[in-house]
Amino acid sequence: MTPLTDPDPTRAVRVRAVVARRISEPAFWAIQAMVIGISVLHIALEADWIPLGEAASEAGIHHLPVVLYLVPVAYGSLSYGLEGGVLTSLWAGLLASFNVFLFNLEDYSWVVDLGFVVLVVGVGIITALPVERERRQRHRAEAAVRRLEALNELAEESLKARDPVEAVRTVLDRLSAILGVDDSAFVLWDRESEEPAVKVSQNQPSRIPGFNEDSAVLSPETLDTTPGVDYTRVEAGGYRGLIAIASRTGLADPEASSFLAAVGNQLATRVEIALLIEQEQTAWSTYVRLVTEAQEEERRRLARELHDGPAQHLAMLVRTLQGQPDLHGAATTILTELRRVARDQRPTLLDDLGVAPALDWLVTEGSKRSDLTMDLRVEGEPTRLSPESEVVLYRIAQEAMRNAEVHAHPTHILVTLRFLPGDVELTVSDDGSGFEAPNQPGEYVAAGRLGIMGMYERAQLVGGSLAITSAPGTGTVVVVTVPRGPVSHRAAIDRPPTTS
Amino acid sequence: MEDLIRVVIADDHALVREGTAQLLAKYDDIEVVASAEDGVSAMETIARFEPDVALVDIAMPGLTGIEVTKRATATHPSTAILILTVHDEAGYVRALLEAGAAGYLLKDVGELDLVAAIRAVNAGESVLHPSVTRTLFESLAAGRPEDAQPQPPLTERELEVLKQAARGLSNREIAATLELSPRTVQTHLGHIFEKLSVASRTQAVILGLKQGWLALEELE
Repeated sequence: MTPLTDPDPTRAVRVRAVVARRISEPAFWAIQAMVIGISVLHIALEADWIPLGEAASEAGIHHLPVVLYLVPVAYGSLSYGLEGGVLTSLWAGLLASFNVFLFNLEDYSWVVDLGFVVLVVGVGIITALPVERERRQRHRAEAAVRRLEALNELAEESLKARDPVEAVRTVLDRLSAILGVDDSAFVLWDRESEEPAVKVSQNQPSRIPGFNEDSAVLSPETLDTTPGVDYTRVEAGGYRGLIAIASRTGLADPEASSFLAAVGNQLATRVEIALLIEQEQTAWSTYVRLVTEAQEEERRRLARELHDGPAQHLAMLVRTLQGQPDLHGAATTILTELRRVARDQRPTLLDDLGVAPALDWLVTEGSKRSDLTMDLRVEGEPTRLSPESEVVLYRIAQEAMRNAEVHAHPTHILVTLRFLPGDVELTVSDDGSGFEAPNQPGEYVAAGRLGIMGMYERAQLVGGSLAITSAPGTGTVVVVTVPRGPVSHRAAIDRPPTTS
Repeated sequence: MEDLIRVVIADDHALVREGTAQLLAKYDDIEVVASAEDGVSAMETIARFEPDVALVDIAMPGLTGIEVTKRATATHPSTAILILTVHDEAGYVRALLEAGAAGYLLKDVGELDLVAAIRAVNAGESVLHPSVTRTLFESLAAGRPEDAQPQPPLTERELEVLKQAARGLSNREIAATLELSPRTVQTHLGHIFEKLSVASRTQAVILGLKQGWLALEELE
């Protein structure tokens, strides 16, 4: 596929399109009508079909139509530029010459007439030249405006994207459509690590040479020698990269390069910002994870210590106080309280037996403590999950149940734990007053409901997701889904190879 | 003199090991043959002494009491595992009974109750601490599965026997209550185990509660 030797398949199409456009325009037909009208008048005068006075004939009135040709010629120039002026004057010249040879061969007045014809063609060209220049400039300006508009649109669309890869994909799709190319690709390398931070091609596999191979192959040197490919280097902050387009039929548009550069640099800046935000978010979620882990570890340790130390001694004390009902009762109460405090920190059940028995205890205790009924439904075969996932599910259930109890005043809370093939789904639903659930989790922070925001944060820490459905009067449903498999803390950084 | 009940105590708290051993020393029919301070040595001690009863704590370093129970009931079925713990959550009770423990007691159990429990599990019966029985049953009743069978695959008589067993009565007591011979009660229980595909009366009772054949109120 060497585009240089290929005939341009679009030329015939373009000519046909121009002709179709012309014959649909009134100006075109007005020019034709004028040229033919003037020619008919010319022949009529020359053939003496219209009787003219001697004086008029002497004054050379029959030359007048030739001068009149100047009107459609000028009109053609102004309407269609060089092409219009030259074609109209040649057409008028042809008709006029026909007349000259028909009627004026015997005397030398044909020389005068021919002079007029040359004059008409000359005027046509002279008028058309500046008009053509002006027309070209106008076309360029219009194209520039269109590109600017396209560029703005691209910028807006790329801002709507949720992540850098999606932003790049959106822009490449539009770019290819605007430039009429088959494929486009964008790569951004980290200057320091030389690792690609973002690498996206519109097509899979890409038509950009070197894209599908190791990223080192994709370089300006390779692209320079490949026909039908255009590229431009881009850079933004700590990143450098390139944006490339490819077309099987060759790249016809001379303005494409500058447009490509504008889009590429804009996109690089957009991606750089997105990557920075992502790094910030990763750092933040790492911090949140570490704080949460430390807090959980502290609670776990405290609960274990309470069980191991004071609880053991108290149990032995209770045993020896068997014969003394008052003291026995008091010591038993202290032991019960101690167990409660320890369990409120973190139930040992969660670590020893998993999330299902821990939730079972939470629901049973909740029912005992309050007037409302609480139920746990376990579907599927309960298995152990990663310790992090188990804590996350337990804490979210705890928080959701506490929120329901404190804010919604329900009569019933149902906790459902579903062990599905790929993940585990926890649902906490109540029949309470409900609330206007915002669209964005971030709005909970503004509303001061940090507990709910904490549930979102916890779900994300283990690669899970959380959704809250509620409206005034309809109760609230909290659904959290957590993957069963081992969770990598790099999950937030690692991007899937293809996203749709 | 009856056969001596040989007991092993597995607990990581010296206080509990010594206190319990001291307490049991007063009873002629019970002898504490050894003690262990973590899960791994608990397994070794059980293997070495093959005791009649092992008192096992849940929270132990190395192997938890749950693991010890699972392994010991598989390798040493002649040793009855009696859990002695501070945890009264239903989840532990269920997990341990399912693992094959013969009894579940809290550490604040009275001396006489502890001794009675050791004797009972040695005789092949199940023992639950009175306060954990209630939480266990509440938890079983609350977590009833959607596909619960409304009708038990048992005869009316067998269901009666299961209800009495659920109240914690021994075979002899069930026989007295239902005016049957102990041998008949044993036969009924055998049929129940077979029909429900379970290995012990505790498992049969748990299944009965899970399926809703036994109501909490009937067990008072």
